[in-house]
Amino acid sequence: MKFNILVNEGPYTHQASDSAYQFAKAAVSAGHEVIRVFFYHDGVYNANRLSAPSVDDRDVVNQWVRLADEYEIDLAVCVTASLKRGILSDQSALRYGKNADNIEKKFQVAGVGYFIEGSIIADRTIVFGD
Amino acid sequence: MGSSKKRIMYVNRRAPYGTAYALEALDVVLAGAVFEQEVSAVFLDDGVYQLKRGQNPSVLDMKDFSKTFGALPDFDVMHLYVEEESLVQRGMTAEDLIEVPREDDSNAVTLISSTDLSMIMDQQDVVLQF
Repeated sequence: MKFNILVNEGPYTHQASDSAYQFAKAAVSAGHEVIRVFFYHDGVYNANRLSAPSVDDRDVVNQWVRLADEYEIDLAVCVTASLKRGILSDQSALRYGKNADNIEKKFQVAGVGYFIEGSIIADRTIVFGD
Repeated sequence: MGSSKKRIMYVNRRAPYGTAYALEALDVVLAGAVFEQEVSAVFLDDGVYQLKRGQNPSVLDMKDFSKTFGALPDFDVMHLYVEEESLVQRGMTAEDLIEVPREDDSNAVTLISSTDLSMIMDQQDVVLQF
C-alpha cells in the first residue's frame, strides 16, 4: 500500500512527528511504501538542521533523514509555512536578504499542492497532529 | 495519477483565531483546487466558529478570513457542512452563520447531523483534519 503522510506539529513539544516517524518506519518495514511526508503548520520545524538535542534523547530531525535515505522517502516542507517561521533554504535566505539558512538538505521545499497531489496518488493519507 | 476523481474532505475542528490551524487549512483548500477533485469542507466542534457571521478580528491584528469562505464554490468546494450538534452546544443557530452562495444562489453552508456526517465521511477517499 502507498502512504502519504502529513505532519502538522513541531518536534519535542508534540508527539505528532514521533508518531508519524514510528508509523512510517513500521509501514516500510512491513513492505509498504511511504511515498511522501509533508510538513505543514509548525511541522516545518522538523526540517531545522540546527536542532541539537541532548545525546540521551532521540534526534527527531536526523531520524527522518536516515529513514528517508534508507527507504527513498520524499520529505517536503511547505514553502509558505516555513518561510514565515524562519525555516529557510539557502535560496530563500538569499532571496529575502537573511544571513543564514537552516533547512536540512534532505527536505525539499514545495507548495501545499504537492501534499494534495500525494493524497491523490496514495492509497491512504494519514494526518499526524494534535 | 488515475483518471477518476477522489473525494477529499477537509475537517475543520478549531476556532478561527488563537491558533493558525484554521487559516492554514483554508490555504490548503485553495491550493488543492487546482487538482479538480470532489471537495467538501466540514466544520465541527469549535470549527463552527469559523463560519460565524460578523467577525471583526482586526483588533487582534488578524485578518478576517471568513470572507474567503465565500469564494470556495469558485474553488470547486460545493459543500460546507456544519455539524448541527456542535452548533447547538455553542448556543448558535444557522442564522449566526455566514451564507456562501453557489452559482445557482443556493447556500453551500448546510447543517448536518452527526449521524449523517459519519455516513458522508465514510464515503470519502481522503479525510484531512486540521
